Amino acid sequence: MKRRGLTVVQRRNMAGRAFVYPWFVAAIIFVLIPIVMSLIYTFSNVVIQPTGGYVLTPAGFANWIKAFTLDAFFLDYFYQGLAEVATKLPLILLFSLFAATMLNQKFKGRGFVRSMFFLPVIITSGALVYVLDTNVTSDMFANNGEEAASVMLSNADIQVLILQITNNADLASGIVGIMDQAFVILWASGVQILIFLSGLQSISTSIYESARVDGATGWETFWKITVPMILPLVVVNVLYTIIDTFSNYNSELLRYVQSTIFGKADYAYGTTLSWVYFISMFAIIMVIVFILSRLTKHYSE
Amino acid sequence: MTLTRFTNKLKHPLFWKNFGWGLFRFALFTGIIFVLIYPILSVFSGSFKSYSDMINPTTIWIPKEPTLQNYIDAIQKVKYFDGLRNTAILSIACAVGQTLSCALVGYGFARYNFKEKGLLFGVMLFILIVTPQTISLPKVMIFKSMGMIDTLWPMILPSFFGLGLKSGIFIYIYRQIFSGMPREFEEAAYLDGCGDFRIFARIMLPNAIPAIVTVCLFSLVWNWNEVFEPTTYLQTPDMMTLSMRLINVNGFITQEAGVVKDLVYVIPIRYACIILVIAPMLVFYAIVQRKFVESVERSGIVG
Repeated sequence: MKRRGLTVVQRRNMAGRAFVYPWFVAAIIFVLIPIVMSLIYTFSNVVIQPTGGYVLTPAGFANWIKAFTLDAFFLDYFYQGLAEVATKLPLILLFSLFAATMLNQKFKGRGFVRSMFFLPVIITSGALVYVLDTNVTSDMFANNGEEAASVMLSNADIQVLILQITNNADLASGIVGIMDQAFVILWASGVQILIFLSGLQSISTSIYESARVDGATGWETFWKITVPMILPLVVVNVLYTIIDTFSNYNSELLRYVQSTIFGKADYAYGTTLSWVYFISMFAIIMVIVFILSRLTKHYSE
Repeated sequence: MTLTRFTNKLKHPLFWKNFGWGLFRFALFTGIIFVLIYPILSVFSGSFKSYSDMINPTTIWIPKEPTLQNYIDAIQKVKYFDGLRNTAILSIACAVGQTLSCALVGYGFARYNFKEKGLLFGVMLFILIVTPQTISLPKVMIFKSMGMIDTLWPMILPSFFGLGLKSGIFIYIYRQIFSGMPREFEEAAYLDGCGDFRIFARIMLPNAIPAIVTVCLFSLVWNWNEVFEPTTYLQTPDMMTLSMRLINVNGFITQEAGVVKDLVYVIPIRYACIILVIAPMLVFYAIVQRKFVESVERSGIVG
């Protein structure tokens, strides 16, 4: 006799689909269709009609060519953004691994130190760093004493003043620059520390114990046990850091793209810029994940 | 007697090693924590400074004539409570939506093996990488046609379908914790005639509490601090969230006619604004910080 209806496996698969498909249908509407639409925009001119709709006229590669040849600001911001990721990424990773190893040790007041380290996770927003960023610099000068008078004298834009001073490669301004950079790095690594810390805690202590019995030093156990065990998390952290840096309101490139789309109402061109940005970010992530997965494979063999 | 014991302790080589290490650690942590909280401290002290303190170069940390006027000005000019209401509604609704919907999707990815699962998971990772700016314009069009512009719905609605802010990370966290659960749970319940959804709600979900706490907290915090999406969909000043007000704070303070754009006047109000915006999250963090660290450690982001 032939069975009627679905088999057990089929029923199970249908149940699985019931969990995932509402998300997928919404993803088609809210993400996948918009991606296709925005790709079409980049090859067109978009004119919003007063009635509410919009008209597309084909424009070929004009927007893309404009981004790389005519726009005086975009390439500058773009290289700046890439340089920022290139410098910040290794520093954030190193610092967060270091901080996580330190926080994983047992010492008095660990709870307090931890809660301080994760404070930026709670309050850091691009907005806050954006508003604070200039203030930190100006405050340092105000506290230096010698510069305070000139800062207080001037009602003109402090930012411009500081920028001028900073460009003059003064010793004091060099220190301020490092302080600012340290502040940005430290504030950006909260989540990464958390991820590394949870990874460190999942390594069972018996591995370390047996290594110690065999006579391994702390240095050796770090490189031969901790680092290989934590390498998959480096991939996660690289991904998170790149996504975070690129989508942070503090990034000048992003603000430029946003102001082009919504401020200047240059819809098609702004969308093209965001595509350049998206494609380069995608490429960077792919390259780094590829290299790191090779490394992980090497360790696991 | 006790003295000799003490000196013996001092002679032990491990004592000096541990002591030196502890001293080094203390110095290091003090330095790092100083850099971490320096901006907040200086903003906090600045927010109480009166005009005379601002122009007095000998006042550095503690204002000589502390005033609350900056806070009163900030609350009035930025319309703080409007912003607080919008941000609270937005982030709580999104946190509830993301915590529920991402759990469902993550469970589907973790416990079932239908044919196209790999493909859908790839789509999820892809969505995580897509920059929000790339799709912002088409999304504005879509939400405009649904009449949702200048409401909080464009942020809240997607988060109930597992598509809110950084939802991919949350789905991933849930998938990790659900894949680690023993198969016997499910089979026993299944034999007792429990349906798939009941297994999820009654057995799996209660065992995933660390992940739920983690997702809920991160979602709340990230939505609270989010700038880009609200700036895209909200237009009238009444609807602005706190973080939007923070970015436009200079505009808010100096928008009145007749006010001279005097930085000495603007800066303390700006500082008061910053403190007011982060204060709710600070209070929240003070309450949950122990839970926060614990559950992230146990939530199995690691797998």
